[in-house]
Parts: sequence; C-alpha cells; structure tokens
Amino acid sequence: MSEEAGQSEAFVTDFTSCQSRVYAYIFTLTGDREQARDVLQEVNLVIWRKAEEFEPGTNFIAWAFQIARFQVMSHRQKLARDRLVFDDELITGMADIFSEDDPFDARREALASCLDRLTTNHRNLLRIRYADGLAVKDMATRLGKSANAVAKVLHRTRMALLDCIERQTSGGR
Amino acid sequence: MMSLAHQITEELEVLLATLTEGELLPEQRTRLGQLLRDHPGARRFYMRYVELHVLLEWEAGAGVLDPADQGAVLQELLQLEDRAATSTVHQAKLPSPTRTYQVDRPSTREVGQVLWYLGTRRVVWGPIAAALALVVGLVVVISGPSGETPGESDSPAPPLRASESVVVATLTAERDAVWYRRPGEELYAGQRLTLTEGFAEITTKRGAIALLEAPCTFELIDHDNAIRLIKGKLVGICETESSKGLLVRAPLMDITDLGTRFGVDAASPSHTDVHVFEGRVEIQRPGALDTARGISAGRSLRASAGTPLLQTISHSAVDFGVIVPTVIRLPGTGQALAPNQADTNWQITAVNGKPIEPAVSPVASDSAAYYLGFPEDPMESKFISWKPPSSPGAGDYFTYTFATSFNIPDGFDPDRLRLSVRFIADNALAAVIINGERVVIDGEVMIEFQRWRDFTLADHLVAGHNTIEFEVRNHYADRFGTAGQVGLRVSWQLSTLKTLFEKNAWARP
Repeated sequence: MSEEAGQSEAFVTDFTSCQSRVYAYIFTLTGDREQARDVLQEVNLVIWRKAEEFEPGTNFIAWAFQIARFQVMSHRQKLARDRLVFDDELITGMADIFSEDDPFDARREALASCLDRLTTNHRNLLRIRYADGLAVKDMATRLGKSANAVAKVLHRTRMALLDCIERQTSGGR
Repeated sequence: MMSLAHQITEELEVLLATLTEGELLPEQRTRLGQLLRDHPGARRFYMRYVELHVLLEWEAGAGVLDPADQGAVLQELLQLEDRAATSTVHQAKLPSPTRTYQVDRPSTREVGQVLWYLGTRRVVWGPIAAALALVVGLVVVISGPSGETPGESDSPAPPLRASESVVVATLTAERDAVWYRRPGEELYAGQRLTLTEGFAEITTKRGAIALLEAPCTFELIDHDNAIRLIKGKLVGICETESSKGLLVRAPLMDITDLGTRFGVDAASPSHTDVHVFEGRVEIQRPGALDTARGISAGRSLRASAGTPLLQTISHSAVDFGVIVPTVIRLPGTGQALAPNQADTNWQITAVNGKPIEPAVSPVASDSAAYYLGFPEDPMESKFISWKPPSSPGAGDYFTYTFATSFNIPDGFDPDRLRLSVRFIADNALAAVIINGERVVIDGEVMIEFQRWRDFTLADHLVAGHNTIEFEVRNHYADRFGTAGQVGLRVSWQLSTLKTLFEKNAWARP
C-alpha cells in the first residue's frame, strides 16, 4: 500500500471511529438532539473537506473537537433565540472541560460490560427506546402504560448504567 | 457524581430525562442552564448523562423484539412502576451477574449496533460516504435511505431465541485447548463458551464446521446451523449440501454462508473482518436498512463500529492459525495486456457449437462501455472480446465458446481443490464446461451483463491439464445491423484449505 493510501486509510479509520464521541460533544454543547444531528453533518463535511490540513500523527479527536466547537457556535447564529438551550458563556465553559485525553473509550467499553449485566427486560427496554428508536410516549402507547411510568424506568436504567460505568472506570466493581 | 444536593439532583434528573426526549420547554431550558452554571457537579453529571444517552443511541444494537420479549418488558414495567412509586432513582441497582445471567442474553456488541443504524437513519452520510468512496477508493457504501422509519426496512436475519434444552452442535475436536470441555460433548442453545487458549472445532447439527481460535468467546443459539461469535476468530466450513447456510452472528455483522469457507475475525472490539477463502458469503449489518451484500472468494471486508461503511481490506488467510490455506492464482483474462493485444491463453473455438477453423484469440479490450461500472484492473483481469467479421448465421443470438486451460500441479489433490471464478459476460454466460462436463451455474442459463457474478466449482477437476470452456451468448447485431462484439472477463483462482485437525495434508508444500 502506498504511503498516501495508508494515510487515507488511517484518516478514514480516525474519522469513522470518532463519530460517537464528536456527536456526544456536540449534543452536550447544544443540549438538543436535532441541532446536534445537524451540526454533526456540518462537522463531518468540514472534516472531510479539510482532510488535507490534518497532519497524520497528531491528535485527530482534538482536531475534530476544534472543528465541532466552531461549528456549534456558527450553527447557533443561524437559529432563532428561542431554540437555543444554553448561552454562549455556558457552552464555552463546558467545551473547555472536554479533553481529548478523557477516557471516553474506557467508558464506552464499560458500557458494553454494564449492558451485559442488566436483566434481559431492561436491555429489551433499551432496545425499544434506542434500537427501535421509539420515543417514550410511543413506547408507552405500545406497552399500554403511562409515559411517566416508562420514563421513570428508563431513567432508572440509565442511572444504574451510569453508576456501573463509574464504578468500572474508577477501578471499583 | 452524586455529591449534589438531593433536591438539585432530582430536579436535574427530571430535566435530563425530558431533554433526552427532546421535549424541554423554554422555562426548563433556562432552569437547566442555571443549574449547570451554578453547580460544577451538575455540569459533570449532565455531560456524563448526555454521553450515555448518545452512546446508547449510537451503540445499541438494532435487535428486532418479538412479541414475547415485549410481553416481558411490559411485565417488568408493571413491577418496576410499583417500586418506582415508593423509591428514589438512586435505589436502582444492577443485580449481580450471577443472579441475572440470562440464557438468551444478547452479546454486548449486538446491543451496541445502533451506531450504524443511526448512521443510516439520522445522520446524512451520503456526501461523506460518496466522498470516501471516490477519493479513498477503498470503501463500499451501504448507507440506507435517510429518514426511513423502523419497521419499514428490511430486517436482518430473524431473531434467534435460545433454549436450554436443545442440542445444536457438538464439540468435535480440539487442539491445545484450555477449557473444561471434551471432544464429543454436546452443546446446547444458550451456552456461552470461552476458549482461553488453543483451538476447537464445533460441528453444527446440520454439519457445518466452525473452527475457533483462542482467545475466543462464542455462544450457541437456538438454530441448527448458527453460532454467535462474541469475540475472537472463527473459520466457517460448509462442505456438504445440508451444511450450507451457516449463520455466524459476529459483533458488527451477520455472515451467512452460501456454500463456502470463510474466516471471521472479531478479535478487536472496534471492527469485525470477514475473509472469503472459497465460494461466497452474504453480509448483513444488524439493523441494516439495506439488503444483504455478497462477497466472493479472495475478497475481504471490514465493518467498523461507528460507521455504516464497509471497508475493503487486503485479503489474508494467514491471520487464521487454525487453517493452512494454499492458493494457486490463475491468470485473469487479458491480464497485463495492452488494448487490442491478443490473449493467447484463450481461444474462441465455436459459434453455436460449430467449430471455427482456425480458432481465434480474443483481444484485450479498452471499450469504455465495458469499464463503465467495472473499473479496469489490468493486473488482475481485463475484458477480452471478439467481433465476428460477418454474420455467423441466421438468428438474433449466438453462443460463442471461449476456451482455455490450466494446470493443477503435482502434489495437489484435485478432489480437495476449489475453482473460484468471478466473471462478467457480454451479454451473458450460458454455460461452463469443465473437462467436457457441462455444469449448471446457479441454475441459470442467462445472466445479464450488468454486474460481477461468481461461482465455485468443486467437481470434475483432474490432476495436471484441465480444459474449461465458457459459453457466452451475445446479441448478434447492434442497432446498425452489424455483427455485435462479444466479451468476457474472468478473475479466478484454485485453492485448498487444510485445518489443524486434519491428519493428512491437503497439499504438499
């Protein structure tokens, strides 16, 4: 494989493997899924267009975060004020907390392990919500329960997962 | 994480649960911003909560729940709702693994596939994917239509439910294996096994063989010809008619055998590779909106977490310690020839079964029409073509016989060899004749000139000299009434595969 092709392959690998992390970053800063999806698309296009500017061997995720941060701020300018969840100052404060050295992958791995420890029913609940993509209110309709009840169980499941991830990544079980 | 005052925590949790549904009201947004500004702990909790939500969205495998599963969820909800009424969210605990182990637990990676699912549904990948395909030239786009709702899509393989009492496979051999199993042991649906060291051979109820290489974790599922590979490497071998259709559910793709030998490498959590040594397999991404994608002998694809793209990777059988592959590459049509140079390896020997005297060699073609959609690869194969100088007779279609020969070297057992052929014919391949024996290709007589097709021959090969003929049907006249050009493109190889469990070599080095 030529050096150029090798670099292209490495770029594609970096590009594809950072998607969930960049999406999480954008979602956190925007506080809104629809906006996060729009911005992610813009970020992906910018990353691809600027591919030649990326220096192989440097930190890809730091570069992607930088682009994402700029795109978030840029996207905000296009939106009506009432659609914004956070103000600029808070966004800047949160963006500063993100670090490319943050053990995101460790938490991601821990999530896989923690999902394995859930009961089948809890996993199925997550499947309906996330894999089938049903909103809580639709789940409630399908299951014949109140939306509030479904939201509570979902939330409790997320909290249990967070607790499990925290324990695993901090060394405790 | 939990050092926030209880009241703030509860308020924050309600806001976050609402946020994940995309239903925050303006006053709730203001309040959330205020909490995050005033409480660094709230900010950190918010970041973790959103990250988890995203990971679940991104990673949760798109499994299709059957009615029984939904019933179970409903029952669980009924119980939990009662408990939730009298307890706080912080009382939710994960049960211990020993208490909660379920026979039909899905693999974590299976639960983790929504990344891809979302990639096709919710993120516009089209321009990126197209750019990747065009610029890098090494990826295959399998992105589905954006905006399609679940349920409208093609489902992957039907859900497989486990049962404790069904014998689905047998441990038939092992070498240097470290685990508490013995050859001859029956294996049950729902069993999850980990091979710490060494190699093992599992034979499914229908006779397909799965060779497993440590470190490896796999699970038997309630199916007479399937295995779930959770981690590690597996080689699938389906030699008999009944064993065809072996399904391997790997972390990032389902692989279905179409009569073949293939390797699946799921040693890394970030990607799953499939290498086809012989024949053809079908790949389906879990939750895919696309129909299955087939790949054939000598080709390898990688599915990576976090992308809807399937990446072409270099083909490698040597990465699998459980097999010893040998490949004899045969020269493709027109290989390394300049346009209009005769390919003397091939001859057109007959038209409609009537011999041409003398036979003619077709020439390597550079016709743009041939390479539109089938990129030229002169070092592997090119189209070879011939245009009859005059009408070979009456009729609309004529069958031209393209003949060639190859040699099976001493030391190879022809009964253990497979001839894997990938071809395009203009207009169509009517038949293949190997050493005088006519063989049926996929039961078809006519295959249209529109894409690569492939087949594998296991019969009628002989030691030493072998002849093979491709009968290509072509429309006689073009729109000007002149004789049409007939063309054929073939890439092929002979291969054998010896496993560690075989006492006798298939091929001497």
